[in-house]
Amino acid sequence: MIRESMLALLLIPLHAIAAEPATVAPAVPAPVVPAPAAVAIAPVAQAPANVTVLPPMKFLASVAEDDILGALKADPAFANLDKELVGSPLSLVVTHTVRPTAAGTAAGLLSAVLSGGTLGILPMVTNDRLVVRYEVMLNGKTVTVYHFERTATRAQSIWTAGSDGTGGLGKGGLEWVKSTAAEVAAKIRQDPALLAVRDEIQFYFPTPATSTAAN
Amino acid sequence: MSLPARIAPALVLFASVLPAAHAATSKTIPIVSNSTEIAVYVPPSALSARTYVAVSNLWIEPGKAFADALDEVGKKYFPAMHLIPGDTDAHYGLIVDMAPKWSRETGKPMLTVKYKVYGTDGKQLLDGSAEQPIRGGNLNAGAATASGLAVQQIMATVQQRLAPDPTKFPASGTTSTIDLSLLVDREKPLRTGTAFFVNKTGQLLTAAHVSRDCVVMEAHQDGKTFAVKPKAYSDLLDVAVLDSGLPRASSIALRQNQDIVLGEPVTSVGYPLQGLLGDSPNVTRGNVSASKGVRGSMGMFQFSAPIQPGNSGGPIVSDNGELLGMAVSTLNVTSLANLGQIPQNVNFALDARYVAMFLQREKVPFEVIQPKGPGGLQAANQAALTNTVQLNCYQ
Repeated sequence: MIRESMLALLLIPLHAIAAEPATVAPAVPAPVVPAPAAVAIAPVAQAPANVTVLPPMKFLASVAEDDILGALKADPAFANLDKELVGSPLSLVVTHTVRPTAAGTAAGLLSAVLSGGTLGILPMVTNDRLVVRYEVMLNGKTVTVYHFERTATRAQSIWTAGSDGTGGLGKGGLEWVKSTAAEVAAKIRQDPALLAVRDEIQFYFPTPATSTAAN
Repeated sequence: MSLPARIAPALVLFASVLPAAHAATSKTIPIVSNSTEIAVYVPPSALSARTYVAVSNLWIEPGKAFADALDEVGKKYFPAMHLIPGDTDAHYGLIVDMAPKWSRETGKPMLTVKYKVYGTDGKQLLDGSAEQPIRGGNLNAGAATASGLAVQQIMATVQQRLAPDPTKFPASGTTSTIDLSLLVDREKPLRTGTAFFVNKTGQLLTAAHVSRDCVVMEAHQDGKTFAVKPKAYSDLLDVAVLDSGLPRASSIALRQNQDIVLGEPVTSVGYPLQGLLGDSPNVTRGNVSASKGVRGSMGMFQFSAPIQPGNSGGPIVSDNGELLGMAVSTLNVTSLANLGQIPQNVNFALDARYVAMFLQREKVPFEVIQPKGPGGLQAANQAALTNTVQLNCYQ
């Protein structure tokens, strides 16, 4: 289940939406963080020499939030990634999608019927396309996006389907999603658009947090 | 685990066998390729619309569906079709202005596309509306099918009613010279906000999220309306400079050194809740509550003067009329209420010291004044009211 704060804002901008916001993400509550007292830029973890430390970012994920966060923070560049930075202009949002493949649709339907016909003795076999999307946003505007995709065939009982806490991914799919974290970390930390934002932050809010660590 | 969650995989399976679809076309409407060059305008927000539905782990992307329909279906009717505004200049003989709207007013999801067709001289040649229901449980497939059929309906109608060809509608226009203000939806602005003059050359300051992706922007003050154009912006600070090209006698000056005193009185001026409240500016009073924003925010201070949607970009001034900040956000009361907490007047403004840095970086002139005496409401009103405008963003 997606975290409550996903795609919603604890802070809301104050422009009046005049047109029908038919496709705006639904507003959902966010966890409360006591206002202020915190500094504008969060404390910085010690980074190894010559490692580009990215600026503080709020982290949100639709699945395996703690696991993905942990995997990302294993990269020193993401030392300032934090679930609780509700006011941060930068955010890293991870969403996942599970849809049957074109070929798997008919087979999956037949399998579901067979499984139902045997009251669940036979498992339901599905062939799905899994997509995980990493999107860095700056005050609601997309800075950069990375996708990872794969297809997966799995058998599951109709009685336990959807109750394994994997957001429809299955255990194998969940492990795959976690495995994408290291790969995307390597890409994001070199992303030119994000590095340009880091430079702008450095201009307005100069601090070692956003600079390349010196030897 | 709830029942819907248990049956979700089965629902996804069943939904996926319902009309699947890549920009579908109807067999009853003939596809005839026409060599007339056409320019197609669709509001950019309609082509980028998307939302994530957490309960089904799915991105719903109606914007992509409509963009794909234009590319896959529209170009079958008019291969020489150019989307505007675009990165490259192109010639055109006709302009097709489309405004897709997704709704479920009657309980049934529906796509309605109002359209108008213009010649190169700006004369309207045709208008109409195409409606398509969104069928099936797979919303992306349904949106793709509805988009394809609507685009097909419109393009076929253009061909039937106008019988275009390159000699009847020669490609004598260039897309870069099209007056987009004639094509935007004037019935309702995409969003509204507030802006204020920051110098006497007629340049205004507002929040970047108000002016973002606007095709046309208009400012209103004292019954007068004038066009403004973007000059510079920072998504990081959520600030933008607009240019009216209208020199004026006054502007709001920044406080020298931009120091803010905790607890000092402030006045907020804005044009909130357009359509509900009148068109006159709304003035509220409060104090500087804290020198920082919520955790992780950058360059914000907290103030207590009440603000509403539409206040974004409004000036926060001292009792001497100096600019202390610009209103940008507030705590989401609804979200916090669901957690059992009701915040009161917790609002945030971009600190004027960062406004000054931004203006200097962008080489935008501004004035600074020394704080003098206790000041009062009249001085604050004088500075803010005369220099604040309502801003409407159209697509």
